[in-house]
Amino acid sequence: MSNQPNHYLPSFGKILEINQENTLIKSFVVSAPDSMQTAQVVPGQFFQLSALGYGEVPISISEIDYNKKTLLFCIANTGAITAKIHEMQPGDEIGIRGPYGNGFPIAALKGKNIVVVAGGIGLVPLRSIIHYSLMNQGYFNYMEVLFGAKSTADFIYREEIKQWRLKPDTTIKVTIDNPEKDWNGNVGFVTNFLQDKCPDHSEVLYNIDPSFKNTVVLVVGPPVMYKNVFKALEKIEFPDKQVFLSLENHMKCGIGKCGHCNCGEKYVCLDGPIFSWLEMKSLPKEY
Amino acid sequence: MVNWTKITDATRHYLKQVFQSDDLILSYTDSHTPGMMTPVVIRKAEDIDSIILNPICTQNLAVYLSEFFQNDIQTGKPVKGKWYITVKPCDVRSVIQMMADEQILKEHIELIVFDCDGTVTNKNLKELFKSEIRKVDFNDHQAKAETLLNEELTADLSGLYQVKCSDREICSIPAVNEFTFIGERERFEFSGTAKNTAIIQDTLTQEECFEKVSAELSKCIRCNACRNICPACFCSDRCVMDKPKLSVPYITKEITLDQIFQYHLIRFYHVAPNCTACGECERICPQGISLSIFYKYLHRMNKHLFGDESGSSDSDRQKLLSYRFGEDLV
Amino acid sequence: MDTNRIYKKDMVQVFSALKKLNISVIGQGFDEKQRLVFKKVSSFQELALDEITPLQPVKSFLFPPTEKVFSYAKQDEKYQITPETSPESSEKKVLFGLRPCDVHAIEYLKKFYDGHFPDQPILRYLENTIIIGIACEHPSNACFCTTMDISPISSTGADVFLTPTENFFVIEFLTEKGKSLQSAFSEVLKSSEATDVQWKQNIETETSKKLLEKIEINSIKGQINKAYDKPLWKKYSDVCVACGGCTFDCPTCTCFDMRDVMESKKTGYRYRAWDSCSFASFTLHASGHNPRNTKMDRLRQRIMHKYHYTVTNMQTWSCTGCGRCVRVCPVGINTRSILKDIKEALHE
Ligand code: SF4
Ligand code: SF4
Ligand code: SF4
Ligand code: SF4
Ligand code: FES
Repeated sequence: MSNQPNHYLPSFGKILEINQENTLIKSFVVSAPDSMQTAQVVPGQFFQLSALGYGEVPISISEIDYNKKTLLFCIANTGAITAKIHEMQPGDEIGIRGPYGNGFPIAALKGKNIVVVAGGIGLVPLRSIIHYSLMNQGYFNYMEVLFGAKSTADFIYREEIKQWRLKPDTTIKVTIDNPEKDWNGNVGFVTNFLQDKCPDHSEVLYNIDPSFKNTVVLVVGPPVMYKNVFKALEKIEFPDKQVFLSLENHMKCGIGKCGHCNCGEKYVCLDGPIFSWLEMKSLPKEY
Repeated sequence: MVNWTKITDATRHYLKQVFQSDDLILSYTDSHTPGMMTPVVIRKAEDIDSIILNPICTQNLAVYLSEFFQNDIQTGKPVKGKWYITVKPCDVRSVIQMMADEQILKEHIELIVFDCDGTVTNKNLKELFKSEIRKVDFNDHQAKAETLLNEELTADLSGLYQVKCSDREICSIPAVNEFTFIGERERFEFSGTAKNTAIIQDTLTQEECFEKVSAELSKCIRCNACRNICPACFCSDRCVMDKPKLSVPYITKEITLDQIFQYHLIRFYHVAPNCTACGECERICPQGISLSIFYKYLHRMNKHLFGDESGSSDSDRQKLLSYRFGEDLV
Repeated sequence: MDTNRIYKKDMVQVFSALKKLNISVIGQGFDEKQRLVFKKVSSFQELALDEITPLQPVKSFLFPPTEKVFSYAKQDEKYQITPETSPESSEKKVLFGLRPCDVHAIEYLKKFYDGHFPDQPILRYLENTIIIGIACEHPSNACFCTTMDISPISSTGADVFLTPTENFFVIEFLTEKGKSLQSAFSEVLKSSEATDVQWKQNIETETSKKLLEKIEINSIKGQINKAYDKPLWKKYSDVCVACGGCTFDCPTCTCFDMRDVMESKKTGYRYRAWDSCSFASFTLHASGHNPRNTKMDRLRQRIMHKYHYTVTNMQTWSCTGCGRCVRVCPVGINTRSILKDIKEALHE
């Protein structure tokens, strides 16, 4: 019992590199603490990062470099703690606990067509799975990324997106909510891509695998977006057990004890943050 | 003399006459917890018969008003009907103070004041009957109870009323508002006597005072009950003590003596101008802390320093307060 | 089974034996203002076993309202973390005269804080605690243990169990931990008589007469979430003031908050403190979005968690029917009535 490790104590990683992604988001490359088993980290999992003196925030992993043992976190400056993390400099130590949560069901996704639907900073946790596909060429059959941002100013990962476009068996579609000067791309919500009537509709859903037999949809975005995505998928009768999403409930402990993330029978930090749409249907709408 | 059956019947009768759809009634009904009543919100005429009034109607219903109004402001739905609220004479002050503080709109509220000879808490009842009771009924000063083993006990309540009930300053209807009175006699002659508790005297030295207060407060578990039951604490979810984004926490959520002090100091300074000494915080503190130490003192100081008496006017602003109706941030 | 008698007049020796072993005793008694509480006691006389159970549960001795998790100091750009282990957590203690509902509550805490990621600090408290249970003769008017499948004479979870009679206790040593006390008490242990098994039964009969009627809820066990959308919640949430009393005083509520305090530029600590699902801030996102935005959502969460979610996850109610939530609620919301309403709603 008490000779077991104290899970509330953070370890420390070193910040190796910081990039400003947009006005709100910075990405941090962090060397994993020695004690951490990086080989077991799965895309979709999250870590508890500490700005000591301010507190802890759950941040999902964006990239894992299994060889260099580094972790990439993209952090939006939305509160006191993340603001403090944004002030950190390369070379600084950052408190870190994890990995926590279930992550995407990677094994079950092998050989599938993956449709990634990301709204705004929802792309952050999904980047880990896109990265996974880049690092493991051929692991998935096809990868399609549908990304929607409020405006071009809210874009993240511009460089990466350019890179992703170059890969074979990969499509990237981007849209912004409202028209803008100098923008010739798609305008409207990201859910449009899921609809037949959209001239630039999803490659996978309408051309590659219209029977949806071998396709999985991964969604991350604000709670309202989930509702619209579900509506769109319902219309085309896309099977609910092939849709996965990530919940972002308020979290404190990350290990199923503090109760903050509790939603129905599930603890988002333990049983999630990744849930299938099927599972979501049995959860109360408390997310 | 207060005949509770008559008062209850008269209240129901009156409300049935005036109630229209879209109206709302705040009153009391049976809670199924022996010795306790529960507030009830009535939206349908047929529910009026569930109203019961008696000396254990301890809760101060004013606490619900600001929340309801704030909801209306937030959802942008203006209050449609009239709100009837059954109040004891002491609670009138809280409602009036809220009107003065522009927390609620006068036009929408009708006060129904029912006569009362003092209220007793379930703690008092326990002391009175010296045993756990299953059921209790009231007739004037008499209480008739049934124990867990179904033995019948009767007792006289008059020695057990809450402390505030013998305080004429609190227990009389301020002569400023229109209200409907339900009762048989002229207000006000209080026929019971109330138990006294120790109140900090001004003659204590600072050290003695600190010691006494610390001894009380060290029991606090910061459950927030005293804040949430308080009609003068109307910030609801915007309370500074809940602020999740506070970067340098001068108030933390720790349950340590210094933070407990911080909590109570903030709270009592915030309510100093509009606390009407209704005593709800003391009644409901699960730790049995004598919070009257603070509020009685503040109530007195407010009068002494500013000449203000909270709950005595529905329009005069308290000198310590400057909130305006509909303001977003308190 | 090892059954003995231990006479009340000999309790002096029991207490001095415990003292010799450096075991402190926590039990129910009166504080200086005559409030009934759980507290450290040094003699048998200080205990008030003939009262109902105190309002504040004994959990504060095992899961303190506030506790430091660690402190930190920054030196040469490096952080030093020192875990805070409160001395009380490793102090050996006996919880003396805990009644079956409260013993079950501790069983639940043990199970909950263990698991995939054990909560080491709390488990340390629990490890060093010996529970001496007692058959319950004094229920309150809010108790509903039998509704929650707990008998007032149940010894499950206790290390040692007492059955009180006028002059002596029938004492049973049930677990290894309990048996470790047997030798310490050996001097005052008297052999029991064959009829001593009867005492417990008598208490059950007597206490049952005092208890509120049992609500048969096993028929809806595992179905309670079907009441999620029923109208019954509004009646209660309308008047709930979201004070959190019902969760702070509940012996099986486990939730806490974790926050940091900066003491100087380079030092500070992280603490945890009780938190409650009744508070709006409990689930509030940094974005302002609140998954349980209304009082109704929050009141329902408390009930659902206790009577449905833990049934699914841990195969047990996380309520012992101790009645504290009923006693503490300043506006008379009665959990037992809510259960009744749920049952009615489901049978409609
Ligand atoms: S009600 Fe009592 S215990 Fe709760 S916060 Fe207020 S003083 Fe403290
Ligand atoms: S979720 Fe609510 S009911 Fe459940 S343990 Fe936490 S505070 Fe108690
Ligand atoms: S929910 Fe109420 S009755 Fe059940 S264990 Fe908690 S305080 Fe006791
Ligand atoms: S004790 Fe009563 S008023 Fe307070 S949160 Fe619980 S149910 Fe609501
Ligand atoms: S974050 Fe604490 S229980 Fe999930």
